[in-house]
Amino acid sequence: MDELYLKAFLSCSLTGAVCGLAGAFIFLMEIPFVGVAVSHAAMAGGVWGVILGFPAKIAAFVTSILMSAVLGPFSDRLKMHLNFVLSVMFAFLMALALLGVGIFEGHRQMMYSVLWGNVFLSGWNDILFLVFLLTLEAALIIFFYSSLVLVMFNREMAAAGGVNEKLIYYTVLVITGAVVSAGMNTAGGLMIFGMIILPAAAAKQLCTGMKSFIILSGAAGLFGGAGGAITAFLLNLPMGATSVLFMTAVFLVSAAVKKFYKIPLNH
Amino acid sequence: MTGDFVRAENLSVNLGGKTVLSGVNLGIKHGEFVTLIGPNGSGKTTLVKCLLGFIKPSAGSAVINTRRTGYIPQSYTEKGGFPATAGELIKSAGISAGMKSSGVIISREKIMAELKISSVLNKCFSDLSGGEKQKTILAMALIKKPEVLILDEPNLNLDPHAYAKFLKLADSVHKKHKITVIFVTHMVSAMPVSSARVVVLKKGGIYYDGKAAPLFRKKNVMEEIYG
Ligand SMILES: Nc1ncnc2c1ncn2[C@@H]1O[C@H](COP(=O)(O)OP(=O)(O)O)[C@@H](O)[C@H]1O
Ligand SMILES: [Mg+2]
Repeated sequence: MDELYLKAFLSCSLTGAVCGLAGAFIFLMEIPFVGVAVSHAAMAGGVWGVILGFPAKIAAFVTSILMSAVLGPFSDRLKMHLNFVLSVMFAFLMALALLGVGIFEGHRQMMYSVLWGNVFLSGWNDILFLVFLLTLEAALIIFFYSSLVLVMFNREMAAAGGVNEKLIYYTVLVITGAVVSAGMNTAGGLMIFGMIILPAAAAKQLCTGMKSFIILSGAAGLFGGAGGAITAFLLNLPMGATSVLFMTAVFLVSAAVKKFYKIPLNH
Repeated sequence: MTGDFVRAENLSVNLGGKTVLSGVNLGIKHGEFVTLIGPNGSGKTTLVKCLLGFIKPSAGSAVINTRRTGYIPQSYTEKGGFPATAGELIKSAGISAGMKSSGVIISREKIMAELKISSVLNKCFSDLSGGEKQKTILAMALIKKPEVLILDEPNLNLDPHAYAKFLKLADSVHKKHKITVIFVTHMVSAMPVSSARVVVLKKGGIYYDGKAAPLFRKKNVMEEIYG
């Protein structure tokens, strides 16, 4: 395997794992739309970054983080569900991106690359960043496990119990933004939606316990990403789409297992 | 009133341009069992959320003199099947309150036995009956050994039989754990027998505060509370 393929394989597998773990929380917060919204934030950031003379990738990342950082506080202040705040931001940012592309015709290519992704463009530093994100996710889950469970279950009960629920809730949202933004290299802004939802949906079929749900969601993501990458090599297919199809298959298998075996993982 | 364990002084709250509470004065001593009663929309939940610090008063103050509060909100997560077992939720409540893992397991066993829900330890929360859910949430509050327990309309998800049992449970929990209980309900019929003190909230103000018996000796008590 040459280095290009190795990097693509690592990129795809790590994206799967990172998205799988974050996806468990996206599932618990019921905000699947976050994938599409953050990718459009990245697109708007990328296009306008280039127009204003910043590196596209960094501008895209910073915009994604900014958007996911204001998401929680906006939702709380306006007393609007996260999904509505996401919809408003999505509409605004897409308009902003299209405006940029409309004014500066040349940036159309950049918009496509954000939407479709290109795993062969990811370098070692992208892979290193995915490793960093994965470590960060795992560390937060391990060290703040109980508080996370409580905040996902009910924020007010958590607060009454002395948990700093706002800090935890907002942090989860920011990390979600970072994950989506980082994963877009591999999957693209459209396919990332599948990468964050399918592993969690597959895990949910088999689990009635939180620990197994989170672990299995991350594992399904890793398995889907790696399996998708290998299938894509063998059959010479686009990697993002193949991974998402692979994850869909994983989901269908776990749904079938649930239907026929009924053995919940209750830990 | 100063020195009371739970107190609201001249508490007023405006929400969305509407006066929800105005000039509420309430003092609760440690170990009291107080039933907060009043029609829908009278401001019961708002009062409780002020005490907990979730809503900022527009005037006056509201405090609970401890960080160890157990709160059972009027509505809690239902969602599309929350993947956590009753046991996990109770354990998480204990650990996030600073308990050690080994201690939590022992306390959890005791509390689940006391509430008669030992059998749902490894069951998914979403698959429990209304009564089992309510008791799981009560266990989540109790495992932290709270000094104050606030129950906001715990009758809503329960049938009358299950509710009657839950009331007895709340009563025995109050006696056994020697904690302050604030029990919120909109139904006179859903009032715990044990509650020596009743506070009636009406249109954002305190309408009655005293023993239950004199209130119910009045002829048209229903009209007085709900009218
Ligand atoms: N965030 C809010 N904005 C505007 N009005 C509110 C808000 N929350 C509650 N209210 C109003 O305050 C009143 C009291 O509500 P609440 O405390 O929930 O009553 P209760 O718990 O006694 O049924 C109601 O009329 C309700 O419509
Ligand atoms: Mg209420």
